[in-house]
Amino acid sequence: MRKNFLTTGAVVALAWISLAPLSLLFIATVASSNDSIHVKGGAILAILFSWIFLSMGTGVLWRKESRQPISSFSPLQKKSEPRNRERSTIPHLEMSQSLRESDFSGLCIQIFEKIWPTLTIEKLGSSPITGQDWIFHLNQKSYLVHCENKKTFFDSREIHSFKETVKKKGVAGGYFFTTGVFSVPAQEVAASGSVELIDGHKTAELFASFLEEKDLPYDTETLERRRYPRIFCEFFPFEDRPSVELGNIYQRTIKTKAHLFNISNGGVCIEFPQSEELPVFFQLILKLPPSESLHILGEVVWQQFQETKQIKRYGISFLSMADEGREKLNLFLEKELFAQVSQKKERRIV
Amino acid sequence: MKKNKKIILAKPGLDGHDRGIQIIASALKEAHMEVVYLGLRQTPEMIVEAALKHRADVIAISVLTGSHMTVFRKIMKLLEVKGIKHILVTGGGIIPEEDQKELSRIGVGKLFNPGAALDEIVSYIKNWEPLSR
Repeated sequence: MRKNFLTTGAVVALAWISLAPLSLLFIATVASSNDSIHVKGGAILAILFSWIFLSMGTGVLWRKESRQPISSFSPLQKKSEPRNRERSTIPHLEMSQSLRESDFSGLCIQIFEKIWPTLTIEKLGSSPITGQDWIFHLNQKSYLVHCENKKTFFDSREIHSFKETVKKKGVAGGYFFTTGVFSVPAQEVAASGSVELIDGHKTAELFASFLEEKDLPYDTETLERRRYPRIFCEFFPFEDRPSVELGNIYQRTIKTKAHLFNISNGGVCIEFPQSEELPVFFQLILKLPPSESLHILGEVVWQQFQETKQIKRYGISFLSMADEGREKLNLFLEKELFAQVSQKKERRIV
Repeated sequence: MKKNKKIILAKPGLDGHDRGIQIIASALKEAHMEVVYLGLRQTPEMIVEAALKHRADVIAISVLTGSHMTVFRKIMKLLEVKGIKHILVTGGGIIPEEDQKELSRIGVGKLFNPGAALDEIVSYIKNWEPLSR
């Protein structure tokens, strides 16, 4: 844009420089000629009008160029695509920067929980640097997660220190969440080891996806993408909370109740006492507020022992369900997904 | 006191789709029947032998490979050779109606296609009474 502006200016200046002497020469020639006063006057007027039109045209062009915003002349500006991306995540970045340290790390942890349903978390408290540290246990491996919000820039020294902490703790790797940026040496330090850096823009993207319940854009070999978005039943007010009962496949009689942890179109996650046995296949009686009751054939696809609560968490996949029930579940999930997102926003944005 | 029925469940051949038969096994168990699931890759000889060993009342086979004619015929022949007439041979899978009629003619019981209600299967087995033991 700047180049166009300069080019236009140069062309106009050149036109003025070349036209002015020619016009003056033309006027002098006409004035000294033996033509009638009408012919002389007409020629001079034509020249004057040409000057006026040229001046007006130049002015219009000049104004048009000078109205361009300052940012459009910035040499740092690359392409329109990154600017749009930046604009879309900036509200989330600003939101995350305004969070308290504890709320920021809480939101980071919720994202991890969303990505890895079988994750168990241990809080380490304040970090040796600043921010908060957590240990995540997943698939018999542990990871150190550092969340730090109230800082804008991290250099290699801080990443070295984080790497040392990762080594000391004897964990498989580390994740560094922040709303700030990492210096190039800091990124080089991280690239040489088992540490992953999640800067402000990545964090904002994750938060945006999390709050809007979309698929998480963050994708590595270890992270899964979710086919069915889940609704965490703990966010529901008690009286509107969906519940689940387990029954016999044959005759559909209710045997026992279970605590419903989350629910999606593909299945549910339930918590069940460790002492009781759960069969592989069973009838699931899903009670949705206000008074819907769906009978679903369920299959246990995974189970995990929760040491802290002394219970087992089961992942149940829906095997078969009546079409009417499927429609009711879809409607409920669509409605509640939206409501839950709003609740999460209210909870998190203090 | 009426004795609970004993059922031998099996999947013959190389077919590995056993979710359906497992669900049926659970339903039969819940209906207070004794269930012995032999598992995958069973031969007709193994199934008949297990039925005799466990003194079963019913043999239920799940065949989804299209080899139902061969399997059921062989089981029926083995039972005939051993002189056993009191065992109900039933099953399920992707079995066309013409084949069902053909199998019924040689003594096979009711056969169920995919989508059959569990109640129907359970009540059929529950209400079946052998002519002679």
